[in-house]
Amino acid sequence: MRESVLEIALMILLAALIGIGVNLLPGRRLPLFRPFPKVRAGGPARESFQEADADMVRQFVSAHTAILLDARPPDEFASGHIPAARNLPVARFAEEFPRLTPALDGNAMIIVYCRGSSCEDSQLLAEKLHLGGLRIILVYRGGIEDWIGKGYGLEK
Amino acid sequence: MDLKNRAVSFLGSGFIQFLACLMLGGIFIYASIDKIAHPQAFARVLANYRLLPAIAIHGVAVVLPWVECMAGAFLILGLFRHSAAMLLALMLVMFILVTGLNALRGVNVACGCFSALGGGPENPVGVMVRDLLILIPAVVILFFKREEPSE
Repeated sequence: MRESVLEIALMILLAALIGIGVNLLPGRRLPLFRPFPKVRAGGPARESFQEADADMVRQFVSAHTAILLDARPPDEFASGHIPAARNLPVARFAEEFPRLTPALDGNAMIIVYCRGSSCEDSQLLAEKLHLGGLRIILVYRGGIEDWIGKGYGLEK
Repeated sequence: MDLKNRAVSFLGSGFIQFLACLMLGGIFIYASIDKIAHPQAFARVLANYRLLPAIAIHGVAVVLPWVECMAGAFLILGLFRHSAAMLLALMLVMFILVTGLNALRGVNVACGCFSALGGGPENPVGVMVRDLLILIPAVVILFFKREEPSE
């Protein structure tokens, strides 16, 4: 039994050394001794993201300085989306994100949207992208409803 | 030889022991990969459990996936086999208790068992049943391995 305790301690020590060592690599550093930001009582932790409006979306997308991601399910995306948008349904993030990763640079500007101000998919997608290592993320909260309201066309 | 002795002998056989090590070690190595790749996401999963003090979350997020990976690798390689199986069994029991405790508290979060990034909240009963099933190879290794004859 004493031997097992020692071996377990050794394995944990080795894992801790490797984990902390890997954490020292550039671009991976987590602040080990900084408290994690407080989680809201009503739900999971939330990030706040800069907001984009329709004109910013038009400007950035036409200048190819941002990647536009549509967080809605594929059938809604197929029925009409903002021109140049790619579909990354938040519900299928784990499966779809690796497919898009080659096109997403960690420093690329990403704009996400969903149906409109009442839907949460764009916020959830932004959080997942942030956790996936993307840093410059804007949320177009008006989404498709605002885009149509402004008189801009959709692509099918 | 009666049925009980046959079952014990079968579970203690080299092939079954090897298979149990491969399954348990493989599951834990697989489970650690996404957490090692995305420590920040795993830290958020841990924070959502609301069981660890805030100061410990980043440290646990950095070390715990490596403990899973190391113990899994040791088990498959046959190093400290009994201790590695014991460590993984203890971790599984801890995961089951934590999931059960959160279910009782009404806190339903993504378990982060195999992926730090994907998936929403999971049915805690399903998570506990899955962990109990994964515990089976650990029990086989810990309680049915034949003692090597001493010289």
